[in-house]
Amino acid sequence: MLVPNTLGWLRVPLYGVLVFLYLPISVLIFMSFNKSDSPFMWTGFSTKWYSVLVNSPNIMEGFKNTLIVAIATTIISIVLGTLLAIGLARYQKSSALEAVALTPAIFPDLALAIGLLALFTSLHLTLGLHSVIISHALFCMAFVTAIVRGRLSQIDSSLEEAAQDLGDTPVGTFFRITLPSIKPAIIAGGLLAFTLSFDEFVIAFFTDGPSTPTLPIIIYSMVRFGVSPEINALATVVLLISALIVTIAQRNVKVQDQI
Amino acid sequence: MSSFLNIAAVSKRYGDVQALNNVSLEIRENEFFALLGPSGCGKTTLLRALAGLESLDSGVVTLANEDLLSVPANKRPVNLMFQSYALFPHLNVYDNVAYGLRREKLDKAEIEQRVQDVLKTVALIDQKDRRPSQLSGGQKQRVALARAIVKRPKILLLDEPLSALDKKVRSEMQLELKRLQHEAGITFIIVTHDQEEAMSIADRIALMDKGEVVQIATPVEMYSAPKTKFVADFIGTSNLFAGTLGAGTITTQGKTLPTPATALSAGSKAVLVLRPEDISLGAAGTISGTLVSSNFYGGSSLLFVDCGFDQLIKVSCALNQVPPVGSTCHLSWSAADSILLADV
Repeated sequence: MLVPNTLGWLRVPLYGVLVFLYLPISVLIFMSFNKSDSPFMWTGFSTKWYSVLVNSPNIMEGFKNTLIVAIATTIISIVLGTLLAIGLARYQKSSALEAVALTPAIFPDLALAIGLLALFTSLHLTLGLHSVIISHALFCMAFVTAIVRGRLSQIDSSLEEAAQDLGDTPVGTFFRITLPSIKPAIIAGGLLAFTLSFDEFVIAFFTDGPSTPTLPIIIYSMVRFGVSPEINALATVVLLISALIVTIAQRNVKVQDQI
Repeated sequence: MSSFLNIAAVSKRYGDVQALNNVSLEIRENEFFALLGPSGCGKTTLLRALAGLESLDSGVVTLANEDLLSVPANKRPVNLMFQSYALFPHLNVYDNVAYGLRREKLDKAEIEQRVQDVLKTVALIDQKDRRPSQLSGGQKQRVALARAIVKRPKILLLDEPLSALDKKVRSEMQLELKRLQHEAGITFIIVTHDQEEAMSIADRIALMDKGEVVQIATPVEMYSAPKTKFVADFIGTSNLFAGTLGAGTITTQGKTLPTPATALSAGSKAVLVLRPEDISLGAAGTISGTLVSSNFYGGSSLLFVDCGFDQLIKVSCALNQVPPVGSTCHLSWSAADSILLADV
């Protein structure tokens, strides 16, 4: 008997769940183009809230701070995460150590945030973008490590031996063979680190200084006085940037699988 | 001919496992040498040690009278063709083959010339822009071979080079390897667990077992004059009868069989080795039994005859003389064709 290819009544929960998932975001995007400044009433199409964003020095400053943090976090996570993954894969085969290296990815944000704040205060470190960068790198690195570690376990370890057998030095082997083999994983991990850092609120809220707020902190402080339409526009921009980067990362992983 | 690669008393231990136990070998220049043995006998460890990818606990290895073990892997005039081929997946065929020459910092024209030449030799010049993932198993194997021989090593090491290929391609590649070895004038050391492959391809074979070399001989010697029971059993097909020697006879499982002339004394434990092709069917024989089954191998068949021993007796038989299954067979042989070995 052939399985019927129609979903029948299963369509109801399928579309129900999809609506549940995407309705809030659709409302957000829709309302960001509302002419009226009432968040509840549609009075006509306008892009004026986007120009309000661009012309707000406060928001643009926050955007700049967020970009600085996200880019620095990405670079630190890529370098340290890749080195950690190679160390775990090649030189220190211990599942306990591996678990310790990867758990920061699933730590509760709040616990991590409070712990970091306590550490920074006890070290008398001034808070600012640098402390946010350190904090973000700490948990983003675990994601890069996990992805690169996974890739390393797939590649044939005799590739590196073959390179040495053909006369390459250990350093040359790393740059000519190891790094190109894991490059797609490093890029995917880096993009993931960027999106995680880009819209991270809890840890940034605890570890940032008052004079350099990141974008999520600015949104939070604006929402405290009610949802204004430019918040919708700002949230839409943040959403699009994250979605774009996640898409690139996924494409990249697909390409990697084809190699 | 003087020895070229001299391996003297090398040993290697991994935890409780003695991978190599006091192994000594002399390999001649331009020889096609096979390291043969069951898995875990230490043959791959020895090969990797020669390539510099494995360290040894003790022993000396010299190549053309110069110490080899103190030279790091990337400076040894020795190349290894990996069992997995280990082709670089992000480089095309040309760049894979050119990799080793570029590390030698040769000038571009020479690299180009040598890579082109070797790709022509292995008939892959048309595939030079392909990635390894776009090649068949046999093509990958030829790229791996080209990548190793383009370096013009003094010795080429091959780790189970044909094991990933199907049977037909494998026998073609065996011929190809012999031709290449002859043309390139390079000493080849091949590791294999396939005795037929070693027999058909190598000039000399070292048969290894449990980290030790059991016998070093040409394929013909190894087959006709095995040194131990293990060799007789591992090389080719044979009937083995373990028992106690009498005067010109051996008593095995309560039966008495004739033995060839021997230096072994009566009363000692021995093994009689009888090759299937040395046994003939006739009207009367030394032993008789019922034909249990016959396996067809092209030109000849292998008969399995139950003569009351624990094992079935294997007899080689021309195709047109195979009796029906269930009929009685009388087996005879000349005692001089059988081999008698001390059983230790």
